[in-house]
Amino acid sequence: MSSTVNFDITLMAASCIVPEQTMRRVFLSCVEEMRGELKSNALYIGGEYLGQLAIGKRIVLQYGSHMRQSNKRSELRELFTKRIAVAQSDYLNELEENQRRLRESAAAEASLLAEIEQMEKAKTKSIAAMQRQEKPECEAIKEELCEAAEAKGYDVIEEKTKQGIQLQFVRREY
Amino acid sequence: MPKKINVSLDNGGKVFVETDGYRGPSCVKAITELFDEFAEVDGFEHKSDYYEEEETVESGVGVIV
Repeated sequence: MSSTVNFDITLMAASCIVPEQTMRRVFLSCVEEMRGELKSNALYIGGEYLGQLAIGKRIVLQYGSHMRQSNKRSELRELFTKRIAVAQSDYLNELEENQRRLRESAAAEASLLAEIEQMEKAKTKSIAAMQRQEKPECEAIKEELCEAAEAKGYDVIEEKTKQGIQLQFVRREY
Repeated sequence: MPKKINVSLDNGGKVFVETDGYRGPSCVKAITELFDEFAEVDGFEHKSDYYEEEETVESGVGVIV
């Protein structure tokens, strides 16, 4: 073994449910609804520091082991999951509507067909991401991690244990 | 020896990571890169392999220095 490290994270928002900007807006509105605030990505709810947010394709909350007792993290995640379901429904409708409009355009040129295809992929991704969001945190973060690792050149071997999940990321050799 | 990153996730969000097959500081880089979208990882504990010289790649061929 070379090095070891410990940390604590919660997947607040799975990637691809809705566009990133919408994901951030909905998340921030949930933070506000719970009387929270962000200070340089440090998350406070009701004055209590809950951890540091990594906001990109997805939203991940990182916190110290000594803070694990707070249930505000799961409350915020549950609230976000409810709110984002509404936003996702709007997003899917919007994609459907755009697809319908493009299909109706007189000449179905290759570029339009490609755009329609992209929207179809976005819909599929969004639906899969919402299913992930609704899964238990451990399962959801595992799936996001595996996806990220595969994209970064690792093969993934997974094993479930009583305590959680054991993952082995094996660097692909070329 | 294949380079591996072993990750344990518990149901409460606790993550334990250890590398296997890496030599030198490349193990820290590998973990940091893998988790860069998820967390700022620090507080590493290093095993003896960490202090060994790491592999370098020249002309597309892996060479152990």
